[in-house]
Amino acid sequence: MRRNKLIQEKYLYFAITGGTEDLDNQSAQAIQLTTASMNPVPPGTDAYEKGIFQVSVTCSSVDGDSADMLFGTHYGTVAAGQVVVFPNEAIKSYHVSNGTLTLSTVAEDAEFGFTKSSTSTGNDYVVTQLKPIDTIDSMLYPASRMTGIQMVNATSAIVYFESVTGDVDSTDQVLVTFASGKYKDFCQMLNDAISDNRRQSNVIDVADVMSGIHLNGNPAVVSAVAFTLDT
Amino acid sequence: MTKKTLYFTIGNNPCDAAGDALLVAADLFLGMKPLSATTTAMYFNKVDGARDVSVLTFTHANGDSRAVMHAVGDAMLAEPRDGMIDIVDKVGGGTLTSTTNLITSVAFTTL
Repeated sequence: MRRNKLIQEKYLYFAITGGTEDLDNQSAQAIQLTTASMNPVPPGTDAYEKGIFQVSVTCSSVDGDSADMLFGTHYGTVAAGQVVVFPNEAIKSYHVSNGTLTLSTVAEDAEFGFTKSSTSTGNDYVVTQLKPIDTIDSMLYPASRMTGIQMVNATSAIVYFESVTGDVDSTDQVLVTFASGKYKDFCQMLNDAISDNRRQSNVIDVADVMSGIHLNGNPAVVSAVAFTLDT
Repeated sequence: MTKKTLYFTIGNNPCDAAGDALLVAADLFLGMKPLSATTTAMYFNKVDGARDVSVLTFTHANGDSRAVMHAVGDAMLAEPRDGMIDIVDKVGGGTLTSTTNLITSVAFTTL
């Protein structure tokens, strides 16, 4: 009988879906983030530059009237309905702590500037979190601390790990949502991560939903991750 | 058998006082998570054998928690001949510059 080689330690990374916030009907050039999508709001004046979040706008009007949005040359020709993600160069300022972000106008920056529509109902922004900044945003666990995967229903399962609090009477739980009926595919996906000794050079992104990175091309179609951590 | 161990310093130079450095067995590692946009925690079963945790807190640039968790995890996968891995050595200039450069300071929050 052929014996399995000793399975070496691996490190498994999970991250939740990044928070998103729709900021519709904005009348000011400054955009005010709230704690609805990220709590706290991303801190630090460099939060946008560091890629912690992004802001996009849906072009509402470019038909030549006074209500038009204006875009700098960087954006090319923008059509109504087109979604534009603002690069860091478009940011005039971001408050260190209160979530107020101001975009340069086209008058201030002809290349990266953006001037909102004068019609307040025409300015709809979406704020999207791109990096973890809070205690329940992401986790890294040694594979050896995993104790099992419990099916919850057709579209979700809980992966149990020994708690990072060291409490032997409790566990940390990673609730994973996947396509209907894909429980075994998810189990196989995680088993592949743990048992394949060729995966020795890097941390394994099992389900980094925030970054859109999944193991093995995401055969279980994992769409969400949530943590319930022992305290 | 070589037992894999992880070495950390907090940055005090000279590194010669209680709490300036720590060596912990890699198999005590429990996990990592972000604490804020600029801090990430690393949890171990308590090094003194008590049924509790030892916590190290890393300070880093804004939003770098994912990068720190991956860099530290990658570092722990190393297989040095003597088994000892310099995860963060702010004093001795450890060989793992990816982690030492990403992490600006280390605090032994709970030992």
